[in-house]
Amino acid sequence: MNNLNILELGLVEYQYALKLQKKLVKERMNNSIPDTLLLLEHPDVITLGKQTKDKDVIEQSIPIVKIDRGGRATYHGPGQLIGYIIMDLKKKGITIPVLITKIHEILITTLREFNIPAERKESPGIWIDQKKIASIGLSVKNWITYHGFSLNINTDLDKFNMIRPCGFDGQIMTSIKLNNNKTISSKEIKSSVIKNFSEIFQYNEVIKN
Amino acid sequence: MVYNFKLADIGEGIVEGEVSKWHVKVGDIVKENQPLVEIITEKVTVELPSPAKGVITKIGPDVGMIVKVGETVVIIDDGKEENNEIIEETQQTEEKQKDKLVKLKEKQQIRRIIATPAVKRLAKEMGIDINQVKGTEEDGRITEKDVKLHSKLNVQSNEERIAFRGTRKTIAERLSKASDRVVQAWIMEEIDMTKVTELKNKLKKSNSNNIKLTYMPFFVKAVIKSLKSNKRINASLDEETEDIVIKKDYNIGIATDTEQGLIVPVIKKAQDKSISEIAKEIERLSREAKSGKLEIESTKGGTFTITNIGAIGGISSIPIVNYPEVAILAINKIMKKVVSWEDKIVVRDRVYLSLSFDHRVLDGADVARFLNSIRKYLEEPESLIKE
Repeated sequence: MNNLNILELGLVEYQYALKLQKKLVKERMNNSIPDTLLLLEHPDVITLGKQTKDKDVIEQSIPIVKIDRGGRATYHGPGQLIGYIIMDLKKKGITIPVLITKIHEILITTLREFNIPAERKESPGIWIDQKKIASIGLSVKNWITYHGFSLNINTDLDKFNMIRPCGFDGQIMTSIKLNNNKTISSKEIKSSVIKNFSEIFQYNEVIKN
Repeated sequence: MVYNFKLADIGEGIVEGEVSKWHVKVGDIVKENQPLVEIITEKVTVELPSPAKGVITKIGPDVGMIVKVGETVVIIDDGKEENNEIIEETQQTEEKQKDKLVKLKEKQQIRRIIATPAVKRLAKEMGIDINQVKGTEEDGRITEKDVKLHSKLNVQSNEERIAFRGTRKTIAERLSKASDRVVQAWIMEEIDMTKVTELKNKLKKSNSNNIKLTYMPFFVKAVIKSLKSNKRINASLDEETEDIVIKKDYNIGIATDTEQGLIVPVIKKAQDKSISEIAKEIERLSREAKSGKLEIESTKGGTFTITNIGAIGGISSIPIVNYPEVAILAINKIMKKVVSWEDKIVVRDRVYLSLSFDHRVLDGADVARFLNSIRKYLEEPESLIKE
């Protein structure tokens, strides 16, 4: 089974999405579902990864959730595309470094399709010059992945000032909107992400739900 | 049997990580796939599952410590075969653990063995204790296949089995394809490298921007110049449309040795680059390939491949064409040799270049001319650095 299941869910509460991911991880473990990509947005929330330092949270005016992904603090909110990846690494036959490289590649390819000169740097995430447009953070349980990436489309970037995103200054973040003259809809971005995801991870068939 | 699990064995490509949580302690009995420890690497937390069932006899570094490839993460004793030793060990620890272990052993022994007399006989003939064989049928029945698999996996403990997948498998598939399609032929030439060595050393001395200058950029440059006058070698064969496709860009693939196996990153539009730019690009691609950070895009679009096997060793080799390209050049070991040079017996730097090519597209004369041209540039290398 080398199929990819895609779930486009719209605006979803963080806690609900987390529960859903854990449920999907179990189902993937039992082999009752194929690898799955969740595409969604969250209402305002700050999430703290395992490597978060105390000084990373500056202001606490929106919900804060401590979670088990890698990385430090980040902000999610409307206008930011979230991709959660439920993938069986053993079945896919790839290692964690390859997984990370491919996620970077998917986002870079997508952004370049919209003429945004995105690139990878020493520090993880996707960068445009000195600004960060997308973040990556994952967990792996029994070789099944969950969590994933977040890509700023037209996110309210001021909200990143409530934290030190991935340990950087809040001002470091940027978005697609700031890097492109014409308006690109999130629908266009999503379909490009789906196309690049299935090509780069070489899925035979994509099932949309 | 005691399993000593190191990070390399179970870490799926993780090279180093910080221990963030232990799910088990010494003396715990674990099932297969039960979470043992959580390790954080850059941006990823990984829960390492137990690769076997048994008793934990040792755990690795404390929370907050770094565990590296090759370091022991955990030692698990499955209670099989070397039973005496384990019981001795557990006696030294708590009584409670002993009870647990005994229960586990009882459980293993109670397991009813379902197998046909023929299968039982087969096991006996093969010298296998059928109690140790795991049945794959739903009811736990042991089949002939299970016995044979067990013998493969267990009898020869002087073997190690490595999953054949990932980069290794991709390499294999590509080579099979090349050998299915390409009609390979081969030519070798001996070339004098003395002047390149001198030029390289001269450039190194005057090198202000710390570029690691090797022989490779000179070969790349000589190859491009020679490809320009032998265009059919910078090509591929489109079998569907029955066209020989001549490429206008010179995208030179450099076969690179990595932990995962052979990867061929490509110097794109190498014709537009100077020797020092090519040197820089090779260094970057090689670094990314070795650290697993190479983008797939950087391995695509090659038009001709060079493999520098001689940097590791070997005076002669026959490379396999990197399909669908039509030729590949192997640089063998550069050696000091006694030769006749300008009618004198002298010591010179010499190298054998081997070129494999797709005889469907190219003839011997084409590639001989190509090698002559490469020789001309390498034996008078000054023109390679002008521009």
